[in-house]
Amino acid sequence: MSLFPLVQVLLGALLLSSIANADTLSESAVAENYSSENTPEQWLEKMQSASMEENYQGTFMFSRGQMSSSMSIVHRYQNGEEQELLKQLDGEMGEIVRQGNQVMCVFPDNRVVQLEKAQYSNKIVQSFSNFMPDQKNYQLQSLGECRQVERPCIKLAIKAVDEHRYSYFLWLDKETGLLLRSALTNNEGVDLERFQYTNITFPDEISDKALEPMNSGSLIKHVMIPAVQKDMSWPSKMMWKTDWAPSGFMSINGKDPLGGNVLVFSDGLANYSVFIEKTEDDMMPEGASQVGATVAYAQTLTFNSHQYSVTVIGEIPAMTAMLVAESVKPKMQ
Amino acid sequence: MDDRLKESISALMDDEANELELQRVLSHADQDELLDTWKTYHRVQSVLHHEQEDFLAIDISQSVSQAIAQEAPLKLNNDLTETVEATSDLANELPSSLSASIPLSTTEQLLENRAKVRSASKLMTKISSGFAIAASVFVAFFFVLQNGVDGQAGLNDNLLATISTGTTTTGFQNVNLLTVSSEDTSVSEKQPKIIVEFTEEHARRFNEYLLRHAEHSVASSHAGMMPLARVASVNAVGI
Repeated sequence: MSLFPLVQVLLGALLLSSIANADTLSESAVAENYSSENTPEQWLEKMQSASMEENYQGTFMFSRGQMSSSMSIVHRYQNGEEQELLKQLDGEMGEIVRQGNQVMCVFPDNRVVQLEKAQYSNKIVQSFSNFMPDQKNYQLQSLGECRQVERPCIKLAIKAVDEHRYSYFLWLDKETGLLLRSALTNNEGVDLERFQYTNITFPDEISDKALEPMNSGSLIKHVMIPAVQKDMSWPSKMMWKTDWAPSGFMSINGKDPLGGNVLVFSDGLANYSVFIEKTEDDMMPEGASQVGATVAYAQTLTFNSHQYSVTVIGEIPAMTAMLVAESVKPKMQ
Repeated sequence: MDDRLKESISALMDDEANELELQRVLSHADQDELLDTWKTYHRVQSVLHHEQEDFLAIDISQSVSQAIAQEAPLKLNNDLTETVEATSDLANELPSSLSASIPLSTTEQLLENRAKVRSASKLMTKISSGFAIAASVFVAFFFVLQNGVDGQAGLNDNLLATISTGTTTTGFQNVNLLTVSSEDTSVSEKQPKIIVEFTEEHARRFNEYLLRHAEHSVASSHAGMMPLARVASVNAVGI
């Protein structure tokens, strides 16, 4: 399952990280008498393919801070395409349907929000060996074997080497490589976000019915995600840039499909988005707000007598988000 | 493509389009982007309903335009009438390559909608309500955050972890302590940013950004599910 945003790009970043730290990591793996035949890098590779190509269904807990919610997931790989149904199990039911590249959020009253198609330079993101040749921002460690949901698993640590990103712990199913549990922690070791299966099966076949959303019986209402507004008084070709980004984070905007006032950065694991908008009354309050590992930092930028609202949101520390926000500058064409 | 055009496409699909929305769609019918969106929305519907997708390739623009052209002029205020006439002219100039047939029932539905043309002010109301729908989604998100999954205690103490904070009325917290033990002294010397009351509107904005960010994360990580899990967990029960 492409369970995590990071999973898909994780491998490249970590492989690179491990290459950068090749001596240390390989020695460390040997020193730990790693109980599996696979290296940590190979486990990550196995995790990536398992997340896409295995059939599985189960329920998991997803926690942010001390808040937890339970969800179910059904994932099928058929004819080279992933199909997935993610369902909120607590309270009113919301569902997320994925079929190939199509992702739709279905709400209880049958409103649908469709996430836009990938518009970024995925090729760049995929190829982290070219993307971040100096990637030294995470350290990969194997932490031996353990047991999760009655299954033997391998535990890996991906430790941030600076304060601008978080660390990750991964528990991978020993048989399939699927991610069974993860924890995202800050530099003090406090869990900000946790994911953990409470039960999981790997059926040979999954029926179409198991992938049907419950809220599909009546009229569908399409709901657009509100666009990030540009100020009408902006120069037509006004673009924006950040003068600073944490080490290893690079723009993945591609050919700027977002119109110049949305910037997206990734270090292979973590992403953050920067929104620059005209200032309105209902803007986020200046300062940082955080839910689990996701922080939103907002501040006002004044340029040529115009006021702009800059908001940075992502799975990065608040300080990092603030530094990014403070570095936003207009990029005149 | 702007949101208003997307809203019009959506309304057309939901059988709620008025005359102006219909014309707006038709006037852009020669744009690949519109056709892609049209197909995408149908694909969404077909995925959810497990319908066949054969109809996706059918282009109804010319047939609908012709049907409209045969209709009597609308009794609208001057501005709107001018707009409709202008867009109708554009629609009639659609390339012949776009021609295709549509089921009669569909045409009738569209023409029936025509009879329901609303006033310009009503139209604006509808357009606004489109955004209101979107907004209500996020307001619903907010209630989740405020009331908690079990509808018990708010999440003030739960959502955020680590950092000493100013607790707010909505379950969000504004981060106060930003101390970083970095070798970069310029970083560690930064002072905490302001703490302000986090209103419902701000919570709504936060969720908008979160959804947008999830969109970016999914796109940049080949549809990874974690950003979706984040959205769903914020949505939790209220959406």
